[in-house]
Amino acid sequence: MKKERESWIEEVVESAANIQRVKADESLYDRIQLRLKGKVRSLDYVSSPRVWLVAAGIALLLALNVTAITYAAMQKSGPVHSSSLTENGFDIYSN
Amino acid sequence: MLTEKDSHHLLTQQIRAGNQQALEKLFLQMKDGVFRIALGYVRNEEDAEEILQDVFVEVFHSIETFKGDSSLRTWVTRITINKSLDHIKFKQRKKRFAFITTIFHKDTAEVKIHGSDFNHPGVLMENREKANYLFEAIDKLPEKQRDAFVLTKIEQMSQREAAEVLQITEKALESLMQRAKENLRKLLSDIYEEL
Repeated sequence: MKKERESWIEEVVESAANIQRVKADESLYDRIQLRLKGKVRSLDYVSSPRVWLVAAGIALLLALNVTAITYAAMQKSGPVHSSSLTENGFDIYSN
Repeated sequence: MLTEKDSHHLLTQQIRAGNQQALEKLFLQMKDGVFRIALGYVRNEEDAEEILQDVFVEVFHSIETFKGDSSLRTWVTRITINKSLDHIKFKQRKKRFAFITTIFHKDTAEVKIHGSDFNHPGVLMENREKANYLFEAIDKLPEKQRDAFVLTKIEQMSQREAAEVLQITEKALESLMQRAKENLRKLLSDIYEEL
């Protein structure tokens, strides 16, 4: 079993030597030329810090929204102001 | 007859002057090596072709920053490694985004996550399975060990060239390779257990 595993590992490591030395297509230079002339855009690699900055911005916005909504909800369900009693017709002093 | 060093010095000056024919000459000289190194990292023909283009566009735009401390080939190889790593990060981000979309659209993104990107034109059909396991293990190696293995074993660069690219001594490269092989064996042993 151990011998089998060792020989399998050896074969896999040695498989690197069987990889053919392929060649790149010469016509790819035409695409490079187009890119140099600005006719074709390359893939945009956005840097990691930038991605994290955007993610942090979105998270901050979400947090502010949640805080605002929670605060508004607390205001609604908080202690009832005396004026609201009179507005609702619970004025016990009037006749 | 010009030596490679003289020829590269001349090409560098011509590219600096904006000569695109000189860039084409350099492309024809180096395209295969750049393509194979990129393939060693991304194992996908289309991605390696994309990287190859990125490399030569970068060479054209950044030739001013090439000081000549190393050979032009070494400088281009370093750009290739950086562009390959950028490409891998870009693909990983795309996959993470696809993962997020699975939460909302299960049918569309699932294929992208689980589909294999392995399409290495240099790997013959009968060698494909083993090469796939090898690359799976290479991906898990520490960065320097992976770079050393790709340059020396996949691109079959000489120790001197690879050491120059990695900016280390040949002795340090040897010990890096030793550790890379040991780690590869451990990683492959784990893969074997899972089969």
